[in-house]
Amino acid sequence: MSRFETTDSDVIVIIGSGAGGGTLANELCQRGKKVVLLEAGSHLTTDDFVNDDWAAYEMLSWLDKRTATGTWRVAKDHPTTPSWHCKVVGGTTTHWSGCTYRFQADEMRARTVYGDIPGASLIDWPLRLEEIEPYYVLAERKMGVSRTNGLPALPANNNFKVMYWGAKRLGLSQISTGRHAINAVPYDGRPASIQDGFTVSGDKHGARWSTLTVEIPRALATGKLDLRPQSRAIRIEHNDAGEANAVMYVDAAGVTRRQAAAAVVLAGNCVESPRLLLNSASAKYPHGLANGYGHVGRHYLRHIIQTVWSIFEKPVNMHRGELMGGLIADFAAHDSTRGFAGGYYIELNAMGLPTTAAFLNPG
Amino acid sequence: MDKTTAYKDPKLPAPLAVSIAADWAGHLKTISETDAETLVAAIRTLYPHDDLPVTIYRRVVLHFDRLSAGQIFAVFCKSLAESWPIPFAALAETYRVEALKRIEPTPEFTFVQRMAVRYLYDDVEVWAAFGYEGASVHLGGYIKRGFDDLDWLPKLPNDL
Repeated sequence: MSRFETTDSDVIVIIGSGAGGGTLANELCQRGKKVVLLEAGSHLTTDDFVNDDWAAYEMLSWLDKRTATGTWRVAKDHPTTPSWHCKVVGGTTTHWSGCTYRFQADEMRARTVYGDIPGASLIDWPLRLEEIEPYYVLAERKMGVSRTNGLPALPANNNFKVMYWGAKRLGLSQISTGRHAINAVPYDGRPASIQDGFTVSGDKHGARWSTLTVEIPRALATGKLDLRPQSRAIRIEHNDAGEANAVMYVDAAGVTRRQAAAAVVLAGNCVESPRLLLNSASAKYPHGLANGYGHVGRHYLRHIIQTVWSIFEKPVNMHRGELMGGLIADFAAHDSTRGFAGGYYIELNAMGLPTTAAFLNPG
Repeated sequence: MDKTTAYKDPKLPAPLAVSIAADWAGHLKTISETDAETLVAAIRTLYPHDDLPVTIYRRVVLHFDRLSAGQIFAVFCKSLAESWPIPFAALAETYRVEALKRIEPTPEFTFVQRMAVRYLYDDVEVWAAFGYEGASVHLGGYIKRGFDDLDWLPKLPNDL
């Protein structure tokens, strides 16, 4: 692997090796750019991964202390671990279920379609869906998403049979096994799913796309990537013109280092990215970087879910097979008569017994 | 239903050995023998599974012992002991439930409850009892081991 000098101001520094950072690192390296990829977590491989809910959680997750406050249930149930991200090379793509949605046209025009929602600070995207569709196609090809680019769907598992017939009885019609960045057939050097049920535990089998198993190895092969695991970015610096030009980070030995940069890409997911922007306040940017409107660190929103569990008289064996192999899209579109903004999907989600027990009465 | 065979990932350590003898808690490092019996009774009251042997609950306490949180468990057990003049573990279930409800708002209760869920349902013997088969990649996944063998619903259409 290449090593670039910390004083080399030609390198592009990317913070975070997950879906955004790992993918961009490869794209830049393929174009001949020098990249330093800072990742707070360790560089594990699929050999290290285990088929075990708790052991995988402890191996992959960002467990450094965070705090949650406020009236939401998560603040009560998980006051020091309110957000489930990964801290490992590959980031949260090592834990991702592989579900691969697209935005809908209305979701690009949220302010126009949903109206003024007090406290939400909605705006429309400055892009239309048609403008980003070619990139969806490209991303889906790179990830090998089922039901796209001529790739087959994942086969229906036991859990899906239950979902399908339940949905049919309710008169629903848009029922499928969904779209996943999981191979139903061998694709792009990765094997087909063996329906092991441990995609979210690192995906030891490797049928799912991740930056750990796809993008980062390819970037390393170019000789243009300097991957630095166990390197936690703590501050982004800028020049007199206000342009980011260096990143301070703490390496595996606990030594604070300064990496010069031609450009800095911040891809640390929804907690660490705003934390870094705010922690990078300077005389020029007293409220932190990219915070001219004061919105950095506000409007936190991840999955909003309602969970329904069912018990059946006969065995389902929901743990056998891909965990999220079912999707109902009948309610995906916004419908103002429902009295809330946006739509939702009904997703199938199997879990192992340890996770089921932990989330049966969740926060 | 046939009893399930459950598998822990082969890379993980074997389940902690637990004794069926009365002095099972004699080697604990951070939890007293009396508190260990109280904890077994508390976990069993919180998560009663009549078909599971007591050794399953004892194994949870072996995990508790390794958490180096003896002080928290001691406070938990002491507050349970204050409910009634006889030991918590000797109480009838109704009284045990009442005693637990009384300390439910305490952080010690929350800790014990969460750790009980954490370790009880992570036990491979419990997995087998619940029909959860566990680790699968080392066995080739479930693609040839029943991922779509559910036969009590109609066949799916072919055009999905």
